[in-house]
Amino acid sequence: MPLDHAESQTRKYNVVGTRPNRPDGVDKVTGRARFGADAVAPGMLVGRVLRSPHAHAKIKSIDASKALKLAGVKAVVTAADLPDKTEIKAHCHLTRRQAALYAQAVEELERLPTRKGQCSPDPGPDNIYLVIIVGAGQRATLFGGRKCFSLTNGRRTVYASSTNGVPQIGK
Amino acid sequence: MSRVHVSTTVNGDAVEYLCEAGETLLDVLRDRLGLTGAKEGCGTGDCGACSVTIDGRLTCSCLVLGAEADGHEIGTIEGMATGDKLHPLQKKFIEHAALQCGICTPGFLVAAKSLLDHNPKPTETEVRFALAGNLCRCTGYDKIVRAVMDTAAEMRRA
Repeated sequence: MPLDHAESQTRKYNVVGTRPNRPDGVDKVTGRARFGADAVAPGMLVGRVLRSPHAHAKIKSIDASKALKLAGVKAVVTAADLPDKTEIKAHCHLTRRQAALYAQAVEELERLPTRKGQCSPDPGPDNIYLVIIVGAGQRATLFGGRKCFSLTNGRRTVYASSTNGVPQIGK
Repeated sequence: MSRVHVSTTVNGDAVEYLCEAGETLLDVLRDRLGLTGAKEGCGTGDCGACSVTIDGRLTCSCLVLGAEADGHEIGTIEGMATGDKLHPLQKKFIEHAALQCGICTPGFLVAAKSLLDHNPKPTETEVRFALAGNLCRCTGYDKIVRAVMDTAAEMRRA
């Protein structure tokens, strides 16, 4: 059926083709609208994130003892308070089949000999932050050309990086 | 550190509060006075989301100490509408769809009102210049500029 069928031209719509005002417009122009940061609850604690002042630095340890002594500080939460998820890394977008290949890849990567231009020594499961699996003929470039381990089985190539950069996949 | 006692006027109402010496006016407005219309976008005076007026002068409230407000008149977005009656700028912002997520909107409105208070007949360039201190990631600015121009025209007719 053609899109400009006579029947469709005579149909009346309630919303399509009209120019309604936003239902939340008045709240937003008066400052009444409540955004996440505007929420207050009795006894609410306020959390602040302290990030490393150095990009891509390795955090060896965090000493929170001084911060904990400050007046009003209730708690300091660091990675030590959280479950160890270091092996999960960035493969949550993978399908089940790809995940299986990933597990296999990690295993093989650990056995991979050091070769110039291709592998850096000893990735180790804890040091692999990013795994990209691409089909035959495709290449993955890791952000900033970081250290990259690659493994090819003819049909697929597995790239793994010890940095959590942004991957770009291309031919 | 002892707190500072401040007597000021906010949107025409006499207000007194105690604040830390290092507390920004934005934090005082949001956390002590419950006026959360002014937003903290950057905290460094780049985004204009925290715009207020101090004695009629447009200011980033994140760059002013709460203690400095003593004896001055503060104007915030909450004081723009009169009861249920929206300011013409607020109406035009809705009509022109000059807002989406709405985080920058209070800052834009305070800045735009400050412009129209000083210059009832701004050119598009003047509008864009006056709003250059406010950042918006949704609208692309064009609708905001149109809303302000249209408001100025309407307010001159009225």
